[in-house]
Amino acid sequence: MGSLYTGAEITWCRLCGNFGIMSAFAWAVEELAERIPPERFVILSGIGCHGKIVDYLKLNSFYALHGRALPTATGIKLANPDLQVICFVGDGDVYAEGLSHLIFAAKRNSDVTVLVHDNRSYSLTTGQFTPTSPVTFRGKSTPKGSPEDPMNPIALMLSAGATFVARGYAGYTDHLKELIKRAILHRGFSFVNVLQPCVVFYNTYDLYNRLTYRLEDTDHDPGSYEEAYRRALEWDYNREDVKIPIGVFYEVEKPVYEERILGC
Amino acid sequence: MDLNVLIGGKAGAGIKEAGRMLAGVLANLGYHVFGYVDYPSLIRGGHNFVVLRFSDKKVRSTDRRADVIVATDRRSVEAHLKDEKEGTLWIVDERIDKEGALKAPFKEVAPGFFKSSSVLGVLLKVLGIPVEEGLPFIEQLPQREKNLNIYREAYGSVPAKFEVERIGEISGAVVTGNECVALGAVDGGLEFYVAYPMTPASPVLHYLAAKQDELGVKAVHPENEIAVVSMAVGIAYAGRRVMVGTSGGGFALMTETLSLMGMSETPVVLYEAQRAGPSTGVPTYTAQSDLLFVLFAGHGDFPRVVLAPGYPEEAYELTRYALNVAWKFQVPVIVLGDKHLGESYFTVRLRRERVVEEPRLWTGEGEFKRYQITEDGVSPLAFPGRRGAVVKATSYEHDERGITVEDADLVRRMQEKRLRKWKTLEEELTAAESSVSVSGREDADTVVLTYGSTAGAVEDVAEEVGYRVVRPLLLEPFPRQKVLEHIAGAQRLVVVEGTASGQFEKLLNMHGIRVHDRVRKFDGRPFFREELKDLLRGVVHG
Repeated sequence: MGSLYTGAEITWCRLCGNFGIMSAFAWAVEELAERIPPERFVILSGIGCHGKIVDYLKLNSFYALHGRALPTATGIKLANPDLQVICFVGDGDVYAEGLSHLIFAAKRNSDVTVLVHDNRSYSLTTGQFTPTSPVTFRGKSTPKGSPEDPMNPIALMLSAGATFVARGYAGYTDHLKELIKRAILHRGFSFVNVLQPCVVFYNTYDLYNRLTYRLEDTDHDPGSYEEAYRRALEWDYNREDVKIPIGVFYEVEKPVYEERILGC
Repeated sequence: MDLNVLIGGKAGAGIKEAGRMLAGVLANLGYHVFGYVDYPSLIRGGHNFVVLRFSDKKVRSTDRRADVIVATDRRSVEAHLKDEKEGTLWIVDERIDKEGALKAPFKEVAPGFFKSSSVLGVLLKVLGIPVEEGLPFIEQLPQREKNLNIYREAYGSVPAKFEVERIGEISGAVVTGNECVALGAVDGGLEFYVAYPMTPASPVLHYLAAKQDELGVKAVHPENEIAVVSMAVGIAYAGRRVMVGTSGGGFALMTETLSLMGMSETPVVLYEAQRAGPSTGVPTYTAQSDLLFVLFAGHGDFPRVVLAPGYPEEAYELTRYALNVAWKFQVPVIVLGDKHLGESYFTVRLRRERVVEEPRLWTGEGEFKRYQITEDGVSPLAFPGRRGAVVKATSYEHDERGITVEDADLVRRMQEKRLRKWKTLEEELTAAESSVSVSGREDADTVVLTYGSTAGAVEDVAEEVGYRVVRPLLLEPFPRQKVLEHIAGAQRLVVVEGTASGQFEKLLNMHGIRVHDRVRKFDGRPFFREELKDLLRGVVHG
């Protein structure tokens, strides 16, 4: 396997959380190479800093519209179920602009993987609040702080019917790599919300280093919906005085959308 | 023989079904039939009606005033008093009193619903058609025995008033424009049809969903039109032929992605069945006023193709062509129809033939570049999954490999590549004789210019009065030279269109074609034959 990188100039800021996500993914692809040859991957992105990842990785890709990576991905999977389809999306991208598609991709158990670069800020547009910003976030459109409570994407995806729900942290590349591998190998819709510090508009490295703990280190049973939901509610994307679980919240098998449509 | 038969009743009473069965019987007897279907946006109750015009000659429109009016309920009597003329035969439900009307038992299979078998029985008898002619249609209805009894009883309840005799072999199959859009797409290699329900495009979704196994396509119904068109882009990127279908409001939601198709050079066919707008408008009625919208929708400069069939045969051929053109030039192609073409009944001899042209494919030599700069602007295609090719498609401006660029020189060069592609497709498409339809008298002083389904009434009138009709089937790129050749020598140019603001005339103006007169209709209804005849005479001779 040759280099996974195109050589395009990388324009993310120094220490950007996107580096952790890209290296964890590239690492996962390399480790999966014997099972999944690189030409079978298609990566998609929405619009935002995260989206540049498709320029940097030498894999089939579709740099989609803001919020629309998921239905595009489902189309690709329908057209060729042999492909491994991965969506890199942002929190503004998929929780604001494209939320309906996220819910429906989960509801129909489309066999695609969604990795959310959740920096909780619109950063490429120079810092506005997103659906997962805390109320304390002072953005350029909300200088007095966010007027809305954040949404909890883990609880949302559990409600929507996602069959694989996880949270990772861009600062822990090795842990994230394992999550991404599991997500890719999962049959059906897999969702990983990746906590991603933005060094310019919302630097959360210290916060996540201090608060995160790993579900694998507990007796959490990812087969239990009730337990997953309880864990999901431990942190509301607002508080800074509670622990934040990372790892796989939930994983079950259900009929896959593309197989139901194609009748295979 | 040239008769108009109007059948009216409540939604759910089987009015459309009765009309379609009668059209089938008449076609079997050798008659040409055109059926206009008028229904409001509701499920049960209200008032529906169908007007069938049939003749030994080709018919493509109906008359407002009917020779026979069937009123299966009281409301139909009141609603259609304005449609009677000297000598109109009224046939009313036996519970209704109307002077001079024939009374008939319009029995139903279920209370209030499904009267189609009794309507057919009554009408066949009145028209003087043997009872056997209706049997093949009744036998296909659910609750066969019950329907057969109702049909026979109805047939026996009224006297014969006309002598509609067999005049030849079957004239054609009874089809709608929507069915022909679906079949044309299938014969152009369609593999996926993706749509969200919206009148009047929904029948294409229903037809392809019902027949998907037989026709070898997959019908997909996602959460909204944005998902529809995004899925379609994904399907085409991965190498499968796809069409979406919608009406104006849904198309509005698709426009950001239309622009994406332009930038990412993704071949998708979009069927836009117009209805009366603006906004939600009059959902189950017809209009031609999305014309300028589809021509200009989408931000930025990019090539597209817009085709406008007027008849089911054209809907079939142009939709098949649309699939091939989309893939040949890697552009969005819009098939612009409307409710009148999509849902009216026509007798058609459709010659189906599968025509799937292979697009320009990557040879496998050298590095694959999705947006390779070529002389004619068309870059060879490869699809993800192919070893040795990294297929990068994108919404951003990009280099030949599909990687984002902002550099002035590259931005200009890629725009120029797409402009060359635009030029290439313009030259090929506008040179085709089939880009413009011409009919009527060749040496006529008056030439009528129109587009789309308005063709039906226009050509019926032109044939009768002696006008010439010039009708572009290709609206973008516009076949200017061909249109100019066909209107050369005309003393008087008249535009007929179903818009309030003269959108088609504006399109002609844009291409330097000025007309003398104009006829517009924008009440949601199609042009009726004698109405259009009067309007045209008014402007031409007035």
